[in-house]
Amino acid sequence: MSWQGQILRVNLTKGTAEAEPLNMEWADAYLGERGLGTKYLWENMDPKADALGPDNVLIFATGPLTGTMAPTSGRYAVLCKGPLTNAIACSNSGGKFGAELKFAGYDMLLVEGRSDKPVYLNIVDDTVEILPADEIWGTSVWNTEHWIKEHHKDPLIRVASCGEAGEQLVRFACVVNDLHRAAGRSGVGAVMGSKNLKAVAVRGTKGVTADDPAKFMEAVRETHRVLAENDGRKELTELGTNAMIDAMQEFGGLPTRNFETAKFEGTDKINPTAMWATTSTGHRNMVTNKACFGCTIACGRVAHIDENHFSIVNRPEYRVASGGLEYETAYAFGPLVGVDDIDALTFAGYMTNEHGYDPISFGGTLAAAMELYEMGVITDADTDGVALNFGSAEALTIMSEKVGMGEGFGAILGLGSKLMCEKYGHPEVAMHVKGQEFAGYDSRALQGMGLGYATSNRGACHLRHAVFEEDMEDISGNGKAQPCKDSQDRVASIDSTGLCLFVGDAGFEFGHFAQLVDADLPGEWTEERMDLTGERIWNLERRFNLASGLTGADDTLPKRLLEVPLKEGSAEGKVNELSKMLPEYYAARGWTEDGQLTNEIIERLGL
Amino acid sequence: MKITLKTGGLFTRLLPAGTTGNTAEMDLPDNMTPAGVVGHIGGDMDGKFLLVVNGKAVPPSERNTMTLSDGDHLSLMPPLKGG
Repeated sequence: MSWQGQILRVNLTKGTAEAEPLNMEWADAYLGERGLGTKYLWENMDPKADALGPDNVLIFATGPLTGTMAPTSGRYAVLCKGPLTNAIACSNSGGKFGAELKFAGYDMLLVEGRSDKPVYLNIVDDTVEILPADEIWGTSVWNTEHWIKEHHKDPLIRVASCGEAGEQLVRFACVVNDLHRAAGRSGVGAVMGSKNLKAVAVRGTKGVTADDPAKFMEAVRETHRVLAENDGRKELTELGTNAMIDAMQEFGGLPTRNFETAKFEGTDKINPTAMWATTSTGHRNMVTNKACFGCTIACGRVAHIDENHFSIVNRPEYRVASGGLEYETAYAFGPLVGVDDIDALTFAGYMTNEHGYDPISFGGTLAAAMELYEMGVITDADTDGVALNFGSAEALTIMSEKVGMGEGFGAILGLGSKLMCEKYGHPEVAMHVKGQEFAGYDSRALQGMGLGYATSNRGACHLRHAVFEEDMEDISGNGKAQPCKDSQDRVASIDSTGLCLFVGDAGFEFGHFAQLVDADLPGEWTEERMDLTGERIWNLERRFNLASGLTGADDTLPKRLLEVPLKEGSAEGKVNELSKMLPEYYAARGWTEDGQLTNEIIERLGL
Repeated sequence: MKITLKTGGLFTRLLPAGTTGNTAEMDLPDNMTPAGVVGHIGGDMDGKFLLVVNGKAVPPSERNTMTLSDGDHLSLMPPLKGG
């Protein structure tokens, strides 16, 4: 099997790093990555702990398939209690870091305590050092990775770090690995910064195997073939995830100007066609696409900014090819804040990677600030003299840098929309669930998405369920509860394999995941067992949240989505029907009417 | 009748030769259905995708029955999914 059979436990308070056996009983029950990380989190910390205090635990968890030859096997997850939500945080990432951690001999890295001064962790197979980070503290993700590789004279070291945003405790700071890939949501980078842990550098030379190598390689060949032939895969390769922006625009579900409406007049300037187009000055935004470890999709975008654009005209250091627009970045820096300047969006995207923060939450928070500004609640005196009007590309680029550095009004934006809007006395302006901002899907147009947002264990998230097909075919709230619950369980198990969720958009059926896991691990892994494992994971996450102090009252949506009808689009006149769907969902889960777990659930799932 | 056809994703490959961008004016027989337009440009009706007429999504059950009119706007887009 591909488990290395050990985890690395680091205590930054004590300055210790020790390997210990992987708990195989837990791995059998929770699979890996998101699920197994949740179990370790539950067993190793008090959910009531301060998210930014030393008692929070930070986990880097691989899945059983991470580092194998299975397609898209580069995934790992970062887990902790999230400072944006005070709920469980679990964000996964691609790139090459996760596989390298496995190659070094560790299935998981568990970080406890807090160092009294900045450090980074250097892992080279069995040698683990906690080293001073004085020379990289206060610098960017990009500088940190370059410095570590140069310092240790090894360009193949893989680095995951928090940028200045994490150090400044920006509530939606990321952990970024391999320069452009991020465990993006819920503020896991702020937890890393709070521990004075600047980076984890890892170099591994050990291989992985499978329980049944011949059977595994047959499954690998078959699933690679599925991806190669699938139109969804071809679309992701050629156009990236931003192909979704035209679809959401035409459907009428594209959140625009802080959810004022769900159609944006500027999508043609920031969609994939625009990314590939050559301008009158001979510039083209797109350079090429890019893949993570083991991936044959390559949905990642590599882009560059027109050197005459105002954002970089005097900044030659940004005349480089770097991470380009993906759908959520394009949405959050485009329609959500009303900006249609593709170079400004690309620059802001650079800032998220360089300084390490989540574009979705930043876009949501900036949109709320723009609304406050246009209401007159905040003025130039609050915003460092920057006019925060919707549509301002200058405001977007300036604030994208300020928030990354935690400077001036950027420090206020770094609170996230919920705390920022509460500070200014207008909590109704913040568009969030459990403190986390929305992805690019308006839940007045996509009812099941709204239910998924409201019940997501990590706050508003579009990747914790999959009821897109049901939402596309029926704009009512009818029949959404059971598919939402079932897909949440399936996504939880997929997120625990070490594979990328996007293969599901590229030809994979659920059985393909089970087929690969079954060949990789001892015992029998069927779709039914995967579903049950997913349900177990979902309920343990819920249990963590309830123990942390959240209740069923947190399973809700902003009033704007529940009471203000959409002005146009497929769902014109609709609001989200959460009050109808939520009781159906609780019943489907077998929870009490107020969203509590029952003893029957806890016993049946072995929680 | 003439309709405006806007495409997203791989549907853009099916637009008439010489089309720039992702939108084309199409001259089609009267009373064609949305499914008929998809077939006319060489698309696959078995595939799952988003179909919108004049700003309103059309579910699969109606794509073979509703008829288009002169001046209609038809959008063929990839299926909604996580981005």
